[in-house]
Amino acid sequence: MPDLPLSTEAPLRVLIGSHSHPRVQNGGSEVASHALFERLEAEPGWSAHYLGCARGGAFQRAGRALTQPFAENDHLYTVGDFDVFKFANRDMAFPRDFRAMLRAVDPQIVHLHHYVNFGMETFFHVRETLPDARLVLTLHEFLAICHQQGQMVKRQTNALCFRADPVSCARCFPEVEPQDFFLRQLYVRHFLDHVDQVIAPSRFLAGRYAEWGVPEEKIAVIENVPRSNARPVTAPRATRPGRLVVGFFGQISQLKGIDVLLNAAELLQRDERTDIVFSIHGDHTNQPPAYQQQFLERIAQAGSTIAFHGAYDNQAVDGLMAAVDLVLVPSIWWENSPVVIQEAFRNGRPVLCSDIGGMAEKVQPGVTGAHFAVGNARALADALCDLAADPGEVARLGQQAAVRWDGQTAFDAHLALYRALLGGTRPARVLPETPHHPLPPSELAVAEPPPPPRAVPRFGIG
Amino acid sequence: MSGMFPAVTSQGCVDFLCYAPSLDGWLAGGWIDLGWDDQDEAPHCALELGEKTISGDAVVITFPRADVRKIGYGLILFVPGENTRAEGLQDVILTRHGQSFRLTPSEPLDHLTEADGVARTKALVSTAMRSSRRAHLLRLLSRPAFAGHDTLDQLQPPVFLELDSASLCPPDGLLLRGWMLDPFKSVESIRLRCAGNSAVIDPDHFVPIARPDVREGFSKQFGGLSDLCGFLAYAAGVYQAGEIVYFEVRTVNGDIGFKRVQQVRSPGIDTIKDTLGHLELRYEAMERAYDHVLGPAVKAMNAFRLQKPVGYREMSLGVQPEAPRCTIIVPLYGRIDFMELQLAFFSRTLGRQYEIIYVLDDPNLERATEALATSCLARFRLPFRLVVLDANVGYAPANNVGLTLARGEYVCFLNSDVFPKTPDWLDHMVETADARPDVGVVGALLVFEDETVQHEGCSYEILPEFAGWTFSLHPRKGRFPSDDDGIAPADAITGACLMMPTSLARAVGGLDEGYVIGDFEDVDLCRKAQAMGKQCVVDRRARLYHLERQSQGGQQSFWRLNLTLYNAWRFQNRWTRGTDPWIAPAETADRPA
Repeated sequence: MPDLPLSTEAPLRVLIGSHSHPRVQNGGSEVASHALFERLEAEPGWSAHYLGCARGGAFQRAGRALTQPFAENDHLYTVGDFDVFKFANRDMAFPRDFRAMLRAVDPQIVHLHHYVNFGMETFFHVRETLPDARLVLTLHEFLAICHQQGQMVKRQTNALCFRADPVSCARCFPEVEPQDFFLRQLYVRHFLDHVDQVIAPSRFLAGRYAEWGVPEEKIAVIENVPRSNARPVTAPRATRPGRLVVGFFGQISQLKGIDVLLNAAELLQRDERTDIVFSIHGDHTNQPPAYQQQFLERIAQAGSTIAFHGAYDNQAVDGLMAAVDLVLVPSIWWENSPVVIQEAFRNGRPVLCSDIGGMAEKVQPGVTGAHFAVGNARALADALCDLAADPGEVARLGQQAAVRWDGQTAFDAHLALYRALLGGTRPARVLPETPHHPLPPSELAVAEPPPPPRAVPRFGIG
Repeated sequence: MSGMFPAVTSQGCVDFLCYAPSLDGWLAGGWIDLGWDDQDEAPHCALELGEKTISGDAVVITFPRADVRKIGYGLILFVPGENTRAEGLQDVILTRHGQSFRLTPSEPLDHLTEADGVARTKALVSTAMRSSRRAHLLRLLSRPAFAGHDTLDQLQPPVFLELDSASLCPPDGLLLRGWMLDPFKSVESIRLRCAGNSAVIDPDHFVPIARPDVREGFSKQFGGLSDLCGFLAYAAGVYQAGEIVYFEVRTVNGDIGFKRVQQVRSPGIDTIKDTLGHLELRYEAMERAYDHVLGPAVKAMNAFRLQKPVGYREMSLGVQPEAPRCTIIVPLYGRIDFMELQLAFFSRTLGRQYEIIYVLDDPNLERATEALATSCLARFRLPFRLVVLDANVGYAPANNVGLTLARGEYVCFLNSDVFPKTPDWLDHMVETADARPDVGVVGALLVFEDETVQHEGCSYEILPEFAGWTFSLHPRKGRFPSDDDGIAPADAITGACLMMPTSLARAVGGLDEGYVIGDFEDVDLCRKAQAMGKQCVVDRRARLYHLERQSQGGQQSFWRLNLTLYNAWRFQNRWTRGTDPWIAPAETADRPA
């Protein structure tokens, strides 16, 4: 059994890993992982190290896989030869440097956000180098399950996908044999088996991974940790009476539902609803050129009811949200736990989202926002008309969202989980029964201890 | 040799000698003793050429020759017979009515080309007295000889013969693929000739190939054509390197047409594939085709391909086990990522008492495989050996290189697309072999990715659609396995995962390399073990995934099927027809302690 230095004398050592690094790229999961790291660092009785990843050589030193360009406890891995199909890291320098770093830092908890860029073998390195350390993995989207960028939508049509299996996956990717999808699954599961605890930020994601073969008793549902538990000072409503300003914050892409938004805007224009206006914030420049052009043309044709503001810095999101009445999340893929929903709640803004997956789970209709039928522009337009007709309801939903937002619970839940793992116990199973509802913090309880780590774990599938 | 002839009473001399392919026989000129009685009755002639004697009834013509007029006559003789590469004429013995004449070669003897020999003979024969023998020989001598250009298209009625390929079947055979049309049935005989060698090409022995394009192209010109005008034919003992190869087509009217073979393709696995990709044989046609054409041709090409032992280099990755209990041998071709997957899965499951040897049978992937192997060692920390072959040699030879290098008491031949399902699969197999001295071969339960059976032991079945030959089949394939997880006897074990004592594997000569590209070698190996008194069993506790790929189809599957049939033919000859039986080595292999 691992050491249990629960006394205050020796802090508990945690290594947080992320497939990227906020200094390199500012995506949701790297921000969440770094927020967890920063808060752990500040927390008495804990010490934390961070390991991020970068593609490209800006921070690389010849012959080394790991460097420390930012701080002594902040490590960066510059990714080498990586097989994105089955997440195999073929970089020969990584095992050596990573194992050396593990020995030097000697963490009791190794908590990785994602396996991309590290490679599935990372779990094996941890297990071999530090047999007593506990291994935690936070999942983001469905990449292990779905080769289509982990989105679980059909590659050719963007239709929702409900279940991955080798034959169906090969229909999306005719250039890949079903047997190779089977091997991909075997490879990923083989190494996932080393992980002691899986964290899913949504019940929906947890359910999909459990169906796919991650043992249910290994999965806990805990929301991503925000940077701080401080609330912004946001004006209750900054826009003019008689107008509903609908904010969109995120990537300008098909899967994020930007076409659904534009179609709904067209319908509203046709109905001469100039009182409903859209304020779009997001980056379109990483999209295929044809899609970019089409998007810009539609924006240009849309007239005054749509304002496109381009990319934004995540640090500025509070100010931008102050200028909208509600936040729209029209994604046509499932989503896991979109950061933008937590940001909206933190700013006291209700969320109108598609009625599927992780986003629907996070937004309670009539409490913190509303749902509309995924991909259905008419349904979206109607929902917006209803909200525009009742500004008081919008304000009420926003207030309730603000009340429900909580910057501390997720962090506390992480600490509790770490302590439980080091104490030889496992958090209670927290799997979806009603997948749309968020997890009350009380559900994260300490339950029966997990079996001790095995020297040669069984090679089991599902 | 001369002892078999009556006592030599007289003599003569041979000045020149030539083999004339267009005459299918030998021409010689010289002189003979005055005792020779010049009459029409043909003497028996024995042409003693080194160790070979050409014998038959000869046409002999004498003529006045000034330089020997006091002791004999000038002589021309023609004896039909095959060409021989034996050098050095010893004697020519002519025998008639119990009287023999020995003609000895002059020093030096002129060896003439066909053209020179025919011209010189013609000139001398014309000085002889008129006789029916003289007229016959002059007719023979005036037969057209191949002069380097095609004359087949001048034949009337027309005959068409075109080759798509001629492939060398070493040392001197040729496999011919082409098409032929003889719309007026005017062909009497076809010969393939090269530097004095010749072979009769009998259209009755053609392996027919459908060529609807040819029939359509000529259907307006000729009636009664068949789609099956394409052919594969095999001619043994013809080819001589550097010499021109040509067809000689004789018609019932006595006309002769020539057609040159433009190019002879060297043998190789691609030549075999190419040849076998054009055939669709069923039922009784199959055995005839393999006995007369495909069997000898593929056998010769494959033997040539493997005549020199393949060279290799070895990389030792990590610290190898001291005295391994078992060596896993995995040949790699194309999908080197299978090595990565296997090693990943072995990394947590395979004990350190086992040795792993990967044999890369794909030299083009050498660098990539070395890099991946190094990365695998760094990642999975499981020692293994990588053997890189100098050439792509195929399943059996690649495995045999592994067998030579194996240090384990047992060897386990494992396909690269087989992946463990139970971690202790090999422990079970070794345990079974340890406990059962009567067992020579142990197999595993192999399942597809949907958990249904791929292999749980092979059994034999006679397939009427394939010449009534015996094939090994996988019972229960595609169905869920039975609940039984015991050890069961089997007729044979698939080579996808086959374990046996190393000493036994070596004693029986490993996998037979006469089978081409991975068919029947495994069943053959099991038969050899059985011939040594050992049993085959499946240990159902050992479970692994064996994937079957869906993408192989079209032309590729034709050659693959026909190659399987070649291997089946070889297997029948060895184990069921008994035309090429396997002889067990005298000493029984020792089992490991």
